[in-house]
Amino acid sequence: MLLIPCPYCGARDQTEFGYGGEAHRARPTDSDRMSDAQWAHYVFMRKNTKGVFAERWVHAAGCRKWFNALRNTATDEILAVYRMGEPPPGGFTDGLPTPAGEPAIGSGNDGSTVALGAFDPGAGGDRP
Amino acid sequence: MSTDPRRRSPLAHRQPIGTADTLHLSELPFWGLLSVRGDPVAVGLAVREVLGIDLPGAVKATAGAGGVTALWQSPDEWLLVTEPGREGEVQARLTDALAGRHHQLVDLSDYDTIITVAGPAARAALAKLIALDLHPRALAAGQAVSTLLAKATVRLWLVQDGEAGPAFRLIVRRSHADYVWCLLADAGRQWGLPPQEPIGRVPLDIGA
Amino acid sequence: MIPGDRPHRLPAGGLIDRDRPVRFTFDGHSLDGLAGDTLASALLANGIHMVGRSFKYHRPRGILGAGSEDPAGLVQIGRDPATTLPNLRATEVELYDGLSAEPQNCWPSLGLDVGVVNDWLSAFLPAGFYYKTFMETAGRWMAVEPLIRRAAGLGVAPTAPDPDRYEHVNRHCDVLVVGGGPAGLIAAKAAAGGGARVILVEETAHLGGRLWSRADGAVTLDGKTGRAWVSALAAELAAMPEVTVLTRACAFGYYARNWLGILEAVQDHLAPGDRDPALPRQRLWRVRAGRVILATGAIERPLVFHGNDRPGILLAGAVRSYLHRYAVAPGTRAVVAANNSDAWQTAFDLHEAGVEIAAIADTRAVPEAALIAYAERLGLPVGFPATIVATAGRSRVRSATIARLDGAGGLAGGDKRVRCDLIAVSGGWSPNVALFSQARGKLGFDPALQAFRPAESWQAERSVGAANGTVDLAASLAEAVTAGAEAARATGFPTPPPAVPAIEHAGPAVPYGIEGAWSLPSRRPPHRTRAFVDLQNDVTAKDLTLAVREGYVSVEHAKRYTTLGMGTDQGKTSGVNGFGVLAAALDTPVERVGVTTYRPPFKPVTFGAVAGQHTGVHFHPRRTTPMHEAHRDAGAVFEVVGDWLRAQAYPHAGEGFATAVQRESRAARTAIGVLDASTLGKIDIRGPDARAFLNRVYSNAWLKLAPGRCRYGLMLNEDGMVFDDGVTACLADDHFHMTTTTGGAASVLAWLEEYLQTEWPDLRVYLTSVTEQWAVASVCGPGSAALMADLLDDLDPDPAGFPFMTHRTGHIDGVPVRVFRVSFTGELSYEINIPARYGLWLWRLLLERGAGYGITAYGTEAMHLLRAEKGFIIVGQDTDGTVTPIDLGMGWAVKQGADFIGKRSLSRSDTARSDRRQLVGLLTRDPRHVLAEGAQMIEGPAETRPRTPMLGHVTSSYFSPTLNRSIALALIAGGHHRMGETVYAARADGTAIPAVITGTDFLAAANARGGTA
Repeated sequence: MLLIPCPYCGARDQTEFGYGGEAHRARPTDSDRMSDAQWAHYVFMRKNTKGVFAERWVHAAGCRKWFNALRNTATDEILAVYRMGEPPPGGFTDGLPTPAGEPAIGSGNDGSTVALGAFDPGAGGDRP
Repeated sequence: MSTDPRRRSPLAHRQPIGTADTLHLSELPFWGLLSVRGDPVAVGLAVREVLGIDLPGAVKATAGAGGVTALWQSPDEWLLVTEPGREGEVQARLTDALAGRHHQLVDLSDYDTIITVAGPAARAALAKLIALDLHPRALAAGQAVSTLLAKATVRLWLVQDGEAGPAFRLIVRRSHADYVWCLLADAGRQWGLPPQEPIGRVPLDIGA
Repeated sequence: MIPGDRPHRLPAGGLIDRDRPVRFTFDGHSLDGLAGDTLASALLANGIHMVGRSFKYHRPRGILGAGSEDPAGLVQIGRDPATTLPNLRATEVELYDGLSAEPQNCWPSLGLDVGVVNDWLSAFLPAGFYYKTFMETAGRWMAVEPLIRRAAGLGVAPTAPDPDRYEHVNRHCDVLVVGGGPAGLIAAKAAAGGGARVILVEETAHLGGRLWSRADGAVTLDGKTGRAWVSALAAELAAMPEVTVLTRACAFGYYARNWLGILEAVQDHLAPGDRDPALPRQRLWRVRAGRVILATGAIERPLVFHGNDRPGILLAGAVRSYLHRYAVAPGTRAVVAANNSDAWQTAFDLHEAGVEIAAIADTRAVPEAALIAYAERLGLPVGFPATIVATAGRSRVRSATIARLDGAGGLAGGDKRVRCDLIAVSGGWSPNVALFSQARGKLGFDPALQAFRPAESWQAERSVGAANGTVDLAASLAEAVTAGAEAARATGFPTPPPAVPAIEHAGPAVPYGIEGAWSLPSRRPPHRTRAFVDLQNDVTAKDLTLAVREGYVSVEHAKRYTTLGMGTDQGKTSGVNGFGVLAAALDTPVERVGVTTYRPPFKPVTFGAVAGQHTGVHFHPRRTTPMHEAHRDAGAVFEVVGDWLRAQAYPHAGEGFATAVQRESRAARTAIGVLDASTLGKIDIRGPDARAFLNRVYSNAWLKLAPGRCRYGLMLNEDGMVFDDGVTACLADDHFHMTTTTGGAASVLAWLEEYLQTEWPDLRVYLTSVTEQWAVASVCGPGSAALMADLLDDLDPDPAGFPFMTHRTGHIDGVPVRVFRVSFTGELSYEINIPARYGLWLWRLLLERGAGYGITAYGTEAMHLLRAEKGFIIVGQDTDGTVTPIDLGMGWAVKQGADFIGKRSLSRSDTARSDRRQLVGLLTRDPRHVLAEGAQMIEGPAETRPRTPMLGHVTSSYFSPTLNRSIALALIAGGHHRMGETVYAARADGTAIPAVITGTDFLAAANARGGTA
């Protein structure tokens, strides 16, 4: 179960949160001048990023505040949280390592969780 | 406050159960609950003026004086808990102090009730239903937190902790109180609490 | 086959209580064991090896292992249809008095099994047999599946409700240590010294791990015997207040962010009569750990030779467990076959216990000289390089044929058949990496170990000891101490690491020295070689090579094609052997073949534990209103709406539900009705921009609503579809009281907060739910004003001065109330809001004082009927997320000009279509016929071919007592422009019911025609 760091309440179990999908989608203020296609794109279309994704969460069972998070959708690591209205913190790019070193598209789930080549006894390190 | 037979608390159909030397459940009925929302500075000034309380400013924090305790709920929301019957007076004085400032002050004394969960086994019993860390290092006496208890959202307030074990207050919404009560009784079975049948267990077949 | 021919219990030793004999039954035979036995050790002590039959070929299956790794020694415990437990490993079932165990998968009996015909036919049951034979044509599969399921299966699931209790427990700790063997024990001590919260979980009943599988004193730690050292350390841990030690607890799942699931078998080891009803049978611990130390040990794998599956063939390490942990000699004359040095200890220990050693066969070219010398000194016959090529014996192995290996993958001459009743095999030890892999750690193949072991961690976790491929005890303990101290430091509780105990071995200390031997040669032609890899699912080496030949070269594909490792044991003993056999078939190094994905659970977890205490009456909250007791006492029939129990109707004694609804509805129109409306969502809205906010979230106009007035509003999603409705009252210029539907209360508040916080943070508005603050009684009907006048202390209810869609405050018997003149029935109505603590009192007061006015409590069903007569919609019944306000004929609720949520979508080409499904009334030609809700409406009386176009469906349908006829609401394509036309409700029997399309306000239409019936 994910542990999500609410910017106001600290790290809490995933069960206390609601998911709000892609972040940084401002509601158009000039929708009457938008074409049907443009409007439909706003209402219906969302990114489906594999990698670092800016998304919204609400701490539904806690402070009821919305916030943004940068999550690596391939690993579920939450890299940063930041408040509504703030831009995503810099320095994060796509292509973070995944546990299995899997490819950018697809699961890569074909036995590649095994390190190839000779065993390196020094490799048993923990991630920070 | 004198007993008014017209009133009924959400758990009026329950009697206290358990013993203080292991685990004890009871309802604290009719306590005053006021939700106040607004800018921390503006609300803070009014609360200090009216109640003599420094409004808590961070998660888990509470502050109390003169029989009123303020529980932090969110960066712009606090819950004021008063002894039974005092909510009207506190609300009136705060309303005056906040006049002209953007805020929201709502009486929720009938919205929620309070269940006390006390005794040396209280932490272990609550841990069967709450995923949050309840260890004294994570939740100390005088701290409160909003979280989930099974499928109910609750405010968990540790009012004291010591030799006799912790004393928690659970602030639960009226319509979830019986569900929470019965789950707590079930969690306390190993310390001798009797099983409790939820009042909502009625047959749902429509008699044709 | 149940001989009990001679005692196999050794005279001394073991974790058993010789003073506490235990009687149990197996396969109907009454047997004796001792407290501390597992079912497996007790059976072996009685000379019983065969406990069941295999899944596919129904071959006799015995006990292979001594713990959770055992693949095929599965039993069913108990016969009670509620509490019987299938698929338990005999090696894990702790014996208690009266335990009754049955073999599985044997029909009609263990000794005589008709399914054994599958074994004779096995040449025709190759890998992928089921797919190949039956999947080509779906019909054939449907026909044979029940037969296959009967013949091939595991235990029998219970059929009655489970009477046992289960519970979840949540815990947080700084360090979680999985595995209570020597490495786990000392890691826990090292982690806990600085005050860190530590949880140590051990799968079996006893701490100490494989120290119990050696002769006590065979190894000393700081001069203590293994057992003394374990006891001392366990006592030390027990005295530390922040340390929790759980035994009989299996960490079965390792999930994201160091969250682990642990199944504690609290009372499974007790006879049912001895169990404490106040305690659960099992507990599911849900643990969030700062750091995890995996000391899960290693799992031995068998050797893959022809005939390696017979009862009496045990893992060499398991044999030592039976000797030392349970004081049971599982045979009288043994062959030991291995590819490593470790198994030789089994031969030495068996010899020490008085079991004759028929042969030691080692596949290695040159085993360690020290071992050979020691064996010769004891007089044990040794052969190398050698393997077993065949075995004999049906329910128990009788002999083994040993052949020399030629060193080039083939066999040399000189086969020798030796008599034996026990074969101890070892294909080497595989680090138990299941949890490590579930944690998404990366494995590496270690050639020195001939096994996969942890290479790179993904989560904050570290493997130590045998789980990390560290074979030597001293090195394991050193590694564990380091890991424990490091975990303590990382979690903020640094402490000097304890000293690593000095280890001394009594016997010859030789290197592990394993040499890979994945698939051993056979004297038989390939198609007649039965060398099993997976003993539970009957997967042979031949099946795996066949899979490769047929193109299943990926390990994940080969697994699924052959079902390797897909049984309840999840391939604990078979996985690595399978990968090795695949590698040989593919002629590629095993590290290139890789491993299949390890998934939770590590071993089966009961559904009861997964559900925990949240079952039956505690499954889900049922919310009750303040008036609930009155409804219950009145004999109400309840329905669940948004978790609330709402009174649906109040049938009198002897009165049916439908009759009651008619009576209640009529009363509301002709006298007074009262409804408990407490469940409506209520939101207090406050702030200078509250009005602007309402104008953006409702589709209609809100800027000019004066204090004291109320207005009905529709809420749309951004796609233009109606998702909630309700009445909002203006309390003051900056203060509103919103109501929502019962089911929508929580989602509407969340949705409003979302827009406020994420789209319009500039709006100065606060929202707070007040749903439960107020009990609400809705009084309606022609007599309601008189009753209200009677009740109210200080408020004149006369509609002339208190008009429709306004609200006032007042008092009833001194209690402050807020009264809303709103109506959902079309009648004169007063909605009384009172602080919830007074709700029950108010309800009883209304019924008491209203009695003289003919008051009738009505339930939600009558409420639905009454509103349908007026054509008022119910969101979620007459709408389904695809309906716009225009579709509902509520274009009056759509403002022009200002933006609101969903506005732009109303002019999308699709939402602007004129042939959308639109809400209309339907009057059946036969006024007595009440259409079925959900009925599909079609154009003509008969269905057409190829497919009858569906015009829409009936959303609400009732018999109206006021109109004395049936009425219905329906969504009909282009319905607004089809007034007066006849459409038909299709029915399953092919007949169709004609109905005329009308407006939705049936009551108004009837009044216009000159009064109601």
